[in-house]
Amino acid sequence: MTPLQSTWGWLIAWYLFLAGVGAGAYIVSVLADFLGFKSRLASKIGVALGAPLVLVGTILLFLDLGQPMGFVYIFNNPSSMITIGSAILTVFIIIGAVHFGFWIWPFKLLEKAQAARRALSLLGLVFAFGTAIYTGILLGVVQAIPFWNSALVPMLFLISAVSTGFASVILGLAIYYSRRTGEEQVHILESIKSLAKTDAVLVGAELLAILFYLAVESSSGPIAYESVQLLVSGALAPVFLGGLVAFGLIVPLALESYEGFAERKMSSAMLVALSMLSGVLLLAGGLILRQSVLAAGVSEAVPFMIQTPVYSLNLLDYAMILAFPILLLLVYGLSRVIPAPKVVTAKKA
Amino acid sequence: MTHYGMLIKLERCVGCYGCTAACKAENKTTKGIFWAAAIEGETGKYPNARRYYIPTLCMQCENAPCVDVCPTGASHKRADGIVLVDYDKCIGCKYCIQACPYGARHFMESIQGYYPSGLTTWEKRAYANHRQGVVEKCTFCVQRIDAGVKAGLKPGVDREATPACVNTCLGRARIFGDLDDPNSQVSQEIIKLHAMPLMPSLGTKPSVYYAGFKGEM
Repeated sequence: MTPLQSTWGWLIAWYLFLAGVGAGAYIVSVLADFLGFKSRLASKIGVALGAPLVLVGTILLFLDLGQPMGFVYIFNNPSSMITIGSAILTVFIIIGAVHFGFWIWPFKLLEKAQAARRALSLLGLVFAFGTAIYTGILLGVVQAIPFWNSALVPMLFLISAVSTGFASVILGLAIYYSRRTGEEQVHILESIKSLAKTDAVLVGAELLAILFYLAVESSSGPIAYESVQLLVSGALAPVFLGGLVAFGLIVPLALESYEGFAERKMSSAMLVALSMLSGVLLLAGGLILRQSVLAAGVSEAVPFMIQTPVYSLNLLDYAMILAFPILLLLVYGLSRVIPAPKVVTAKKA
Repeated sequence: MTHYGMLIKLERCVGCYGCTAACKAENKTTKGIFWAAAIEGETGKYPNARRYYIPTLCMQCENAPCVDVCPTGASHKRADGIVLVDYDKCIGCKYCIQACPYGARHFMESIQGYYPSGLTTWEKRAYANHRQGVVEKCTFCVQRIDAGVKAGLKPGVDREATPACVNTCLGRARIFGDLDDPNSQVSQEIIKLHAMPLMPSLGTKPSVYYAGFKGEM
């Protein structure tokens, strides 16, 4: 039996996931802004989710520390990925907060000042990519854990971050759909369709990236091979193959392809329902990807370890996965209670 | 320059765990934390099967991966090669635990005593040097080395200045000393016995050498 990696648990998995989704949502927002989507809602949802989600993730990271109040020392060693990553996260959160504060709430200065907004977006874009990539490099530089020590990890995490970013914005649009009327609803549906098209391609790329990753790692030495075995036939296989590959990627790929590329006209209610479903599945998949890669990180140090090894997922692991839809329902409920911000469409502006 | 190092002669190790106990007595580590441990295993097939013990401790690497990844600089390497954790700076991010290929680092989740009724009077005093929420590891008994050097003693030669695990070893399997001094016992025996560190391919350049492998690991 191969013991699972248990030094970093769910808090870190959620952190890596939220940092990815937040960065991805911001990237989608900038894309939608530059491509001139008729409804600005996609852009605004992206900005509203971006930095706040990364901030929540950072708080989880903070909670995982043994001595949280020592975080003031975190910038001491510029060769540590945690130092570099914390710097990137800090800048991204600040840019995201400025973007949010001056565009959506409480100030709306950036609504008219398009040039300033785009300049800020581009700067934010750089740090959004930095955030998404850093979460992978954090694991990638750990030589003692062969399964992580690969350039494919940052690649995979970047693709997953952008893809789950798309999913979160699509989900947001689908939630807002019923609260809008007339022409705006049409624009929202258009946005969903074009985002779903791109995301379908990304999900396909992610499936390939996972395939390549597992194929390469299975011949990167005996320890990396054990990690791959854990994922494809061991203790993590039900969650990884079922939760991520089947329900987190293949099913949403089919759904999004249908949403984006279907020639046949489908009812708008159907489109909204399908995009909600694909959004939730993709987000849950993103979380499972982070947790699977973390838990499968078998270390060179296993023979040296004297702590009680963990061989299988426990109840908490399953609870964390189940908590996902509940959390999203909560967000959905909140979005019903809190009044929607006024959105000006491009046509009117 | 001094560079402290250790040689462990496996053919002299009988698997008595004296080093583990001596370390516990000297460094007063809490329940479940062992700075000096051993890998136990079996090798070969009947009738040539045998059990083996590989005593482990912090390898005090020259290219210490734990020092590289530490964001706060709490993990640092002294001029004499000893890798230490500054508990005042450690934030308990556990990145060094992931980076260490020798499993030498332990996260102090909470200070636990050995008795179910709580910490004993002795434990309360003994554990005062440990802190909750930080990462800790073997220090080559730095307190003994520093006090000994101050008193003009030579670590590895004088018992007062030598790590506890070396002093206690009943088979004299452990030799401690200055790797930079070509005339020290440890340097000479490393050359004579063709000693090697564990997992040299990782490029960590450990200061702890092992001699007498017979098909282990």
